[in-house]
Amino acid sequence: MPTLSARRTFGALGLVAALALVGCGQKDDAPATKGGPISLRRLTEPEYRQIIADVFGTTIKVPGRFEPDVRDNGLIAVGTSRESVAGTGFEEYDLTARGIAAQVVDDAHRATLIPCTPAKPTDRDDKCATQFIASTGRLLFRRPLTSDELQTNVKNAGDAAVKLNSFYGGLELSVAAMLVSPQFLFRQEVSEPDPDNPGQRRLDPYSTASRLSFFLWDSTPDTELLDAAANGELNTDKGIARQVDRMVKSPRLASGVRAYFSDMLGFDGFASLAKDPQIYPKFSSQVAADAKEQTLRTLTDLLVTNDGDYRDIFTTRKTFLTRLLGSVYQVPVTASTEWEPHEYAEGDPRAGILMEISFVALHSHPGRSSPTIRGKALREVFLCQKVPDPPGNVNFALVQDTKNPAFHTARARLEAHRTQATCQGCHKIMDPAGLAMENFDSSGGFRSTENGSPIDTSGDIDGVKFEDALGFTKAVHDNPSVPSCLVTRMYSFGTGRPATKDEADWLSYQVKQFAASGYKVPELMSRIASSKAFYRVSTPGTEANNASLSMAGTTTQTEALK
Amino acid sequence: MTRFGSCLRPLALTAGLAAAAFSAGHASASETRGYVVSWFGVSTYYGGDSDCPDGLNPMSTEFYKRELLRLGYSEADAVRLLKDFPGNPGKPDGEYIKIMSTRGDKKTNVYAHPESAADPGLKEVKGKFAYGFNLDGKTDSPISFTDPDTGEKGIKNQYYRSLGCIRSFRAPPPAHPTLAQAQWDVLRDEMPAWLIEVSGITDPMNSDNVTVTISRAVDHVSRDSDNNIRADMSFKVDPDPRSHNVLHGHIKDGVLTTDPADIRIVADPFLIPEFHWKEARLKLKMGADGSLKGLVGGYHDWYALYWSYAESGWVEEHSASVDMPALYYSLKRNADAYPDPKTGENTAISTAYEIEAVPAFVIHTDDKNDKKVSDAGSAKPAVRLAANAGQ
Repeated sequence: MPTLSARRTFGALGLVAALALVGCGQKDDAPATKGGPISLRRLTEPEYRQIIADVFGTTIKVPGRFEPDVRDNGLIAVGTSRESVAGTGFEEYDLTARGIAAQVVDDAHRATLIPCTPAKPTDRDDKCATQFIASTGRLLFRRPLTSDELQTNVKNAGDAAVKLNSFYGGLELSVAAMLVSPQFLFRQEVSEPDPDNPGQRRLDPYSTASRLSFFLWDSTPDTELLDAAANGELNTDKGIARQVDRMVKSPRLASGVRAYFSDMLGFDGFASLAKDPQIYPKFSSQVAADAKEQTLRTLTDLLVTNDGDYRDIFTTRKTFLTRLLGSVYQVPVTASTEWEPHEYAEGDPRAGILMEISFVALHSHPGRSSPTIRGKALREVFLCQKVPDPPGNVNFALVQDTKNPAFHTARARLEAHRTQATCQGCHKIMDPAGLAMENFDSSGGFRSTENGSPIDTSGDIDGVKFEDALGFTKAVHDNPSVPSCLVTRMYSFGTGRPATKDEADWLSYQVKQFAASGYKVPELMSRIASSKAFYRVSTPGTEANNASLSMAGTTTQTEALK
Repeated sequence: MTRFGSCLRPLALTAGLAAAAFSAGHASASETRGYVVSWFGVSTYYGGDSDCPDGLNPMSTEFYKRELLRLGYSEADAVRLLKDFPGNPGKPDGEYIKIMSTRGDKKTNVYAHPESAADPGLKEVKGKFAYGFNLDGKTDSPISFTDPDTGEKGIKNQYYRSLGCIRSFRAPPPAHPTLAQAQWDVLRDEMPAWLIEVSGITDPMNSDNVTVTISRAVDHVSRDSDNNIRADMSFKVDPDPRSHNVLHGHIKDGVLTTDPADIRIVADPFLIPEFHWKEARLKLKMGADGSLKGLVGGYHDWYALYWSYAESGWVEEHSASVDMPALYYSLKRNADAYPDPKTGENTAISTAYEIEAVPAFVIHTDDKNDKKVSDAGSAKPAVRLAANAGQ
């Protein structure tokens, strides 16, 4: 068994090798693509918060609420391309911006965040204001401010300073104005002709920097990346590869991995997740928050820290716990307030993230589990298979009656429910997977019986039989749709749009590369970020190429990519 | 043993005990179960009117008025002084509080020096029934009660005799008396948790030889979404020897009973700085849901119990209607054990407290550096896992 340091070393070597192939002058063997449309994406709440933390520091509090995001094709990252800002939403953005701006210039922060001192704190100082607004605006707008933008902001800050008798009051208004600007709130991608491929277009350097940074770091480009955009480095494959190499080696890659899986796993659903406290008293909002964090820690530890096999997220016994989670999992946790590594014991029915609270609780009803919802989630989230919504006239009375004396278990109720012809088809693909997780109630607690009857977790998924929940996790681990789904979805996450039909061959190639790498996620992210396809923009008049490969990666799509 | 064998809940063996058992060649292993106390309050049996045939004690407004009249104030003055009850001692309308605080000799704090006042008399329990223990082994004592559930005779609970006719100590079950509930509501959040471990369990229904450890945690309890004490939480044991008690006992028909022994445990000044029972014992039913429910009782220094109320002065007196001098004299009168060698007056009073506990993981660690301490005979470090019961 290689040591952790050895795994990291080998992982790093593999990554370097991949980068060498992709970005350092050697030919990229990936099939060519014609690209897709550029996107205009509204910042998500996590992105907004991360940017503020990166630009102004973590001591700046982000007050207020945000408009809910829209999920499209299985990802909020795609849905944000279809979002605007409503009037009420703008009010919230404005309040939030004012709250942040006030902190940026207050006594506790001004010395750190403002790079100069005004000649008189009670008057305008355009030179100092220019220095601050130019540097801060570059980070917020993810590009240098135009001359007009800079002059306008400096003038407004100066005029306000005179009226308020406060230099910092003027700057405060200027910061607030930048934070409600569409240039900040929306990631506006810009394309330009690709000189290496006449007739084709690519993202311009600053859009390239943003796409890279949000994909790998879940935040705005740092100064070095913006400098690379400014000096032309991002116009070359080699330059992009160098930046990708830097960013993938950075600890901040974990933020990008967390952001991707938070989106893919639908963790925005935790904001409204609730359980009946009388049925599941152990479940609470803090348990929900910890459960979400548990899975993200499990994933980053396996995939980033240990550069592990992506498929092992379904079978790993290693995780992290807080005491609150320990009470639900019924295991001791020594650490009082910190997170503690935990390894499920031999014989423990839990393994992998499907058996963690974050999955089984998120995909359940408030007062009961739901094999159907869980099975549907598995298909859609991990296999990229779209399960149709139920017909409008379905009678759910039987499956909802958990106290029916004739049907003690969810399996028995669903078997009776499936006798309705209209229900059979979908339930056949959803229920076996969901029933395999029936040992876990709606709150994530373990149970071996329901209404006194033993719970049977055996079944089959896509022709692979299993005897219990652990067998199920192994079957999912080996399901060929699992890696292809990840590749497709991660590409969509980075580009903010569904993959196009034109990109199917490229994606198939990436799936093969992903397998050849040992299903290493950082390497996959590196390959995507280093590829030409990632920055290719379709040219006007090629709408046919822009047709989505599928909705959320349908069965057809993932089959095609196997 | 697997975690999820026949039991629904995790059932962990104490590592050290398991190793010892195996090395000794025992055929069957024993288990240790851990609990955190989820309810604690003085046991005051509620049997209706028959408990207090002389009636209940007056409310504080009533005995304050009585005292004002006794001190020579007119009816009109008494009404005027009590108009703004409960008042505030820092303001003029709290004048009655100052008067009540020195109602003995008009200069001495009556709560700190209750004998500065004459005994106003406390109506006491005269009913037959009470929960508790036969602490002295006698069944024919005139102070004996009978257990209302089991019919056991010889129950000694003189503390209940003193408290049982005060309104704030009375409530028909399943409600808890107001004062006990209010105290616990504060204590459970303010005070580090109390822990119980039961080791040597070979059969949850019948085990002849079990060890019960009562200790205090360094951690506080947390509540679940239904506002009850959260079960299956982990707690580190406070190594303070003042809160470490090892008792011997047995389980019969699912009821855990311990042999008489002293129990000392640090509490909280809000209730009492620490409990120190003599000849104490536990009687706890081991519930099918993994919980414990029953009594802890023994002889306790009666003045410490008095001071647990009187230390707050007029606050508890007026809010809980506990006439402090009356309580003082009643406890002194009803004290039934450990006579002072010089005066011959009893220094301790028989008591019983309700106690309930839910499953918890009890972790023993080093108090200084949080390093786990190895159990003897265990290859693994540290953690002695007292896991909860199977369902």
